[in-house]
Amino acid sequence: MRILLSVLCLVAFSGPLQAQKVQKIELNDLPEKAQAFIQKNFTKEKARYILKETEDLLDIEYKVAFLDKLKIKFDKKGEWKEVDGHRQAIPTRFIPEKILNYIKKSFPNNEVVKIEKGRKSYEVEISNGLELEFDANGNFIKIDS
Amino acid sequence: MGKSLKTYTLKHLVYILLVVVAVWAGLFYAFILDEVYDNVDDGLKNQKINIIRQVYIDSTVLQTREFGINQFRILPTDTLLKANVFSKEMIYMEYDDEMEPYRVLRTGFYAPNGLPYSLEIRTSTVEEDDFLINLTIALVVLYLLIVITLFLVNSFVLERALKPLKSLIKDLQNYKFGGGSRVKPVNSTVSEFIILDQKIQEMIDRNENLFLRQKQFIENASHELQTPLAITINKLDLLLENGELNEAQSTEIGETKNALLRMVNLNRSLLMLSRIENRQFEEKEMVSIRALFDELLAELDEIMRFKNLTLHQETREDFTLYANRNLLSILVSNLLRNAIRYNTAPGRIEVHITKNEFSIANTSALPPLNPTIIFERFYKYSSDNNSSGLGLSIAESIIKTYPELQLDYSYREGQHFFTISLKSQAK
Repeated sequence: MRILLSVLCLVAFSGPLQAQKVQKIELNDLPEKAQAFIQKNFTKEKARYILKETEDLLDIEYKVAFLDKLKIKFDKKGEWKEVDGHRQAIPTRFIPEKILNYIKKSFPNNEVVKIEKGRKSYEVEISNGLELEFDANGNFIKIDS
Repeated sequence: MGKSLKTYTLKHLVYILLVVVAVWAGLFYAFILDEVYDNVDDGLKNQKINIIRQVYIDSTVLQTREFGINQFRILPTDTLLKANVFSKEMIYMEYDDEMEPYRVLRTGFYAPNGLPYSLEIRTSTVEEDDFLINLTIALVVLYLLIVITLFLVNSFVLERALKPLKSLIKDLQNYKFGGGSRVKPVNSTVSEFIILDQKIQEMIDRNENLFLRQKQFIENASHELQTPLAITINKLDLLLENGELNEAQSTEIGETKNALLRMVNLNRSLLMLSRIENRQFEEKEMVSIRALFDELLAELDEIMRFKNLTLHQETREDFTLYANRNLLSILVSNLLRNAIRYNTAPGRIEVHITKNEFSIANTSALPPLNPTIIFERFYKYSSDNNSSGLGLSIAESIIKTYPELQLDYSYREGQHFFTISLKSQAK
């Protein structure tokens, strides 16, 4: 089924339309909101590369990779979608305080290593490998184990 | 004899229930095990969180390499297993010196030093085979209980519900056509039984009525025949007395008259039979069979002497009956006449009268008779012109009028026995 689907996609988007288009861009090309977010939270590091990924001409995603493996994903408006420290602690200033308090209380000595923002929830991975789920207001929902 | 309704339904229920219980057992087993594992797994997952939390607070926990009292161990690993993998393992348990089933959770986490570790947590879980055995025992007991309950309910409820039907069937079994017995109306609120009862009563009434009308018709016909017969015989008598006939004619007329007289006899017998069956002899009194017999003997004495018959009478005690004198007279008379008519000449008649029995035996040239047909109307052993073939039918009809009496025929040592006896005494 999956093979059939991909074959169909390939047929549908071959030719003038590319299914995915990846462009290397500069920091200044990012939406302003994203630039402000980086400047505010990640001043020390220097971005290794910035990618603009266009899918189906409409769905745009920006990926910013830093020298220390840290990666940030933005949507086309410049809202952050994901900050992944690749098992390294990430800056926490932009994370809702409720979430940080919960982690501090329930899992002492753990750092946030990855955070993902969904439409109505946050998914946070901490040092020990557990993934915690919070709602949009930062209230704890469950441990994804 | 088929199965009764009770066993019929029970038999089917027992099979269906067996299937239902078996299917239910399978589902129940699956659900319970699923629920048990779900609970055990939830507990293990929760323990995992607690252990990982504790590792960050107390670093010695990370050195738990053996399953101890905590029932978990942490081992360093190269590849981190992030997912939770559950399995069932048999592990030796000291408590009952046996391998017991354990539920084991295998997963992994990052230690504070950033290295991956594997975590194994185990807990004792349900013994599936023991559970299966216990469940089976419980279900067998349940099944038996249900069957017994059904049997009892069936017995009591159906017994109660079918009571009217049973009484109806019993009445119908005892019912004799034209015998005057009635089928009792059922006392039931079940509409089916009420309808059945109603229809049976209607059918019986209709048939009894028809039968009665038919009997009435025979009686009327016989009655109406008497007058023309009497007139015919009178006219023939007048013809004979006139003396205007020659000898050959007189002989012819005489034979005609004899035939007519036989017809009168036959007609009288038929009338008698109808009257007996229509119960026109209702008055009853105490009748002494001995006295009755003696009276009849006086009447028939001459014929007996003529046929050279000897009578042996033995009376131990008188046989008295509360019945209609005329009927009993006809009964005994018919038997005595039979004994005379079919006797040899010379011959012998033996009469025994006891408290409950009157028996008359005669020697005869006739072989043993078939007791099943001798009481039927118009049965004659030979084409005997002088016999109406109704004598024994009348005797039987009279006996039937009195349910306490019975009439039996037997053949012993060259003698034909006819015995009237009280039923309760005979059995």
